[in-house]
Amino acid sequence: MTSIMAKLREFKRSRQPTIKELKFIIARVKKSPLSIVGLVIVAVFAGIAVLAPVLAPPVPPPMGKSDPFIIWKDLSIPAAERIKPRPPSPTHPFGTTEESYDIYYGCIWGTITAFRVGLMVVAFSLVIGIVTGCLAGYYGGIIDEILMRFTDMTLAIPGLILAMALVVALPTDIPLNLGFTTLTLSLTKLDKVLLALVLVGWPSYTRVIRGEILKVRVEDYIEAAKATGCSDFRVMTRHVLPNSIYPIVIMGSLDTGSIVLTAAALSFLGLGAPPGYADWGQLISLSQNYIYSNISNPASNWWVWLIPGLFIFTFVLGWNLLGDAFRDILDPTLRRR
Amino acid sequence: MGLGTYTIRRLLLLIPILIGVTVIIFAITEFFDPYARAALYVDPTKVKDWNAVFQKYGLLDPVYIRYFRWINEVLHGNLGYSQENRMFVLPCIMSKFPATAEIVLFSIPPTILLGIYLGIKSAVHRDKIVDHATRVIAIIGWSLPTFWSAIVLLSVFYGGFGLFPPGRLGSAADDFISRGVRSGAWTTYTGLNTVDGLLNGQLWITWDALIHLFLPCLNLTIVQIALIIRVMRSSMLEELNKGYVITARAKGLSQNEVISKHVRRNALIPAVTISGLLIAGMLTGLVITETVFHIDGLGATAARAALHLDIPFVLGFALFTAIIFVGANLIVDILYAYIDPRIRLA
Amino acid sequence: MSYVVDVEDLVLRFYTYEGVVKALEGVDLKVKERETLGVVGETGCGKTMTGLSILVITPPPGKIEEGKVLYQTKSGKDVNLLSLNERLLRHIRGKYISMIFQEPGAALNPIYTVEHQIAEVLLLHRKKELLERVIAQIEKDGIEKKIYKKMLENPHSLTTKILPKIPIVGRQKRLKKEVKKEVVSILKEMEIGDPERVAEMHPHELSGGMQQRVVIAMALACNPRLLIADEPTTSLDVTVQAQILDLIRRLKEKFGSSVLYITHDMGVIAELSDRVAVMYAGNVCEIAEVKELFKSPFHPYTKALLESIPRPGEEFKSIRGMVPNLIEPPKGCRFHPRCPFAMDACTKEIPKIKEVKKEHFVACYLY
Repeated sequence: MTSIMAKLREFKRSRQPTIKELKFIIARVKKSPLSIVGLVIVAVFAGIAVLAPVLAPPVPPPMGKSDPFIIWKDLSIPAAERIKPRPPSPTHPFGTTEESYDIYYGCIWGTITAFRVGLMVVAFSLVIGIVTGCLAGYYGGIIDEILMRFTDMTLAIPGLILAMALVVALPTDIPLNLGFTTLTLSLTKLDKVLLALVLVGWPSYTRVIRGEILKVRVEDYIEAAKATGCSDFRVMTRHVLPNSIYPIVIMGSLDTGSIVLTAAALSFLGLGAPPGYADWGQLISLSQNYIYSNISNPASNWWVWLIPGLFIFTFVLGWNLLGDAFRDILDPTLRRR
Repeated sequence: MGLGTYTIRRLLLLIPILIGVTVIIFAITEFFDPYARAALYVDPTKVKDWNAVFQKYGLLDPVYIRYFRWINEVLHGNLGYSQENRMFVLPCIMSKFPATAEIVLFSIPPTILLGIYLGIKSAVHRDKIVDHATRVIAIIGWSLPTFWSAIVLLSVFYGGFGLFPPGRLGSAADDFISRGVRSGAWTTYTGLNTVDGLLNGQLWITWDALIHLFLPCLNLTIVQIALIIRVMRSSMLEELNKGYVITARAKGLSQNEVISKHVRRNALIPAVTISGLLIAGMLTGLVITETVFHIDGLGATAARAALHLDIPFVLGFALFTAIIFVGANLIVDILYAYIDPRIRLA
Repeated sequence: MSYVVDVEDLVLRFYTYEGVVKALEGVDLKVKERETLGVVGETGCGKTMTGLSILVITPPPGKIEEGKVLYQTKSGKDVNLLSLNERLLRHIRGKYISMIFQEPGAALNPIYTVEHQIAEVLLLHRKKELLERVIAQIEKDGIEKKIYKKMLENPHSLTTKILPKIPIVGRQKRLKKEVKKEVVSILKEMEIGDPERVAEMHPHELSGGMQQRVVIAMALACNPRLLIADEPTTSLDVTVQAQILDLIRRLKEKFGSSVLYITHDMGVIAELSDRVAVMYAGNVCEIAEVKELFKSPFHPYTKALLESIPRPGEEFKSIRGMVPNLIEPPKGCRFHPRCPFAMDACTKEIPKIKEVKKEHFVACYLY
């Protein structure tokens, strides 16, 4: 019995530095109300995404479609009037767009799309970025040169513009010749956007990670690890990467926001999600004509762009605040004040 | 190494990057079949003999030959034919360029100057009201979708108050210019309405252009300023901890003098570097801003082209913006080397 | 009694996230004319903060709570620097009291030339003298002479402020030439060979020793009465260290200034100082003439410090215990937990420093 107690005490004591760090982090978070706001915002959106089927139950055909991500149209409105957006009402809490899509449904399910787009693009870009960044930073030499030139070239074309070009160029069906058979990979418009954003996004991660690795590589503890016989891979994963983690975390959370912005912009221009898909940018783009023809009278259509736009803005704001909070908390040089 | 040598070295480094950009753009064209790719060279609506076209431009040849043929065409000014605009790409870009340039010219100085000023104020009065307010405004601006803020601005100012209408010019000014070009009363010197208005002695046109420029430039500034503020603030905070600050104080300089004579110039270095990214952000924001404000510039045209799958224009636009971006980065790097003598050794 | 700077009962506290750091708790020091006072102690004992407090440039979140920093002007008047406003303090800093720091590379602004940085001090404090020299050089009574005269008479006038901004007219070539001449002559005093070339260089192009010479040049450019040197040679090679110490000694004789030399190196103290003050954890323990201190140290800490200097053939002797945490320092004499002679009285109140022998001061209840 006593040996267990002793072991527990020993464990608690050995974890003292971590506990102290955590206490400090929590104290810092409490001092910075913006961090809490960011955390709350992201949590709320996560909640909406998870509870989407409950908050906005999918509507069966004929008004909805079998894919819950297609927003249902209110076919009960006579066809002649359907083109005009309707203000918020009990049946349509956020109103309807041109063509009578329900905005409330679109916003709720659009949350899932936003998370999907943001997190998936960041995840893939991160993976590619980490692999290439590690190779470039750790091995240096010709690999580094080639990778750096390649990232330079990709980064030379402004992000959204390159994404536009890629979205237009990517075919809908990609045949993959596997030798014994040929599979066809079908890309929806949204998939194309995801792929384009990953292709545009990974170079930034590569550069950041490479920079961190270059910094960490010359530290003494890496020499020590190598001296004790660690393989390159082990050194990389156990020593180099964990110390380079902070900028990646910061970048990832900030990027989630900006990716959603770019995706929304592409949808708004008509290059992203197809019409009727539950995507915030797409929702606004649906009513573009109506907005422009009625721009002198904003009261007549405010719900069509204000509400989905607020969703986008708040979502991105939450991630930006979170990313800033991470930066403030995890940056050792700015602490202790 | 002097500034001149450094400039030349950077110019030489420019070439591989531009080559790389062309490679990427060319790679994108590879997604298309030879018929679609023909639009990169000729007007497809006028082609009678496809085989002749294929032969002439080597569209059926191996990849590397095609690349060099394409580069050859590009260097001769042939960026292809835009079916959406019904003219060749390069002249099209050139005709739409002034509208875009005007917005950029009136957006960049406010963004940079105001951004630097607020960044410095924020750092010097750290954790006080000014700092918090600036950071909140900055982060709100950074989180705004450009198209949404554009619509909001338009609805509030134009819809609500009737000020700052969309478009480049009001109808009166527009009529005047189109009639004036024909009658000789108006010479288009630069294509920038603000400048041309002055040069033609028609100040009311300059004023009209400025009124129309206000909201688009405001839109771009709101979104981009956050970047400058953030970088300037963090670099100021870093510099304020450096040794030369306390030495300067020990010399007898006031805190304000130390900041303006020593810290600011050092802190500007990262901000100058980030200005390159600022240009990229502006070019991106332009695509949307021009679309929403109905300004017929490069951005709006490119957006339309992309929607209608007009690949030659989209790629021409990509190449064009890449060149501008790379050029801007070059200027930024030289400026950086001018301010910080340490960099010239590298 | 004549002195240059007299620090009386100085209390300095830092208000940080982790608590209030009681950095200086009643520091008493006096620097006499033309003397080198060495201040020695371990890292964190408050030596640097004392130096910064004399110039009243302690960094936030530090606050000087109590005490006086008395400066005696040439005419014999006593001024409490802590009671002066910022404008007057700026008049004193760099001109009557100046300070040099440990890392010369960090102390110099990397983007300005050596000349620019030394000229800054000259133009700040010796502008009148330089202007007079320039005016004396101009024979013709033209616009140029008028402008310079105007600058001399009314340094804060609008013309003086706007003139340098006008491109061609505001060049002030003569003044700049005069300043450059002065800078080169100062660099020569610092025993820098080829001072014209060094003046044109940027700090990163110079070696550590050269950089420190430039820093010293900046500090002595206006002939201060007191030079506070905070470990100026710690980051340099030993050979360069010897050169710099030599230089400081010679310059002190030449310019007639006093030096407050802060260090943790007992060897340097022995070589350079006339008198020594020993500090521990925010208090001054002992002040005596250097030979006297080394021969018969009174304070237990001083004794332990001298004993811990490594000697060949002997074992290492360290002082048991650890430097106290200044947020929660020990009550009473801060050394008492490590002191072999600790008594009951030591745990109650910090002992006041008093003269125990002629010109030998100790703060200890043993005396």
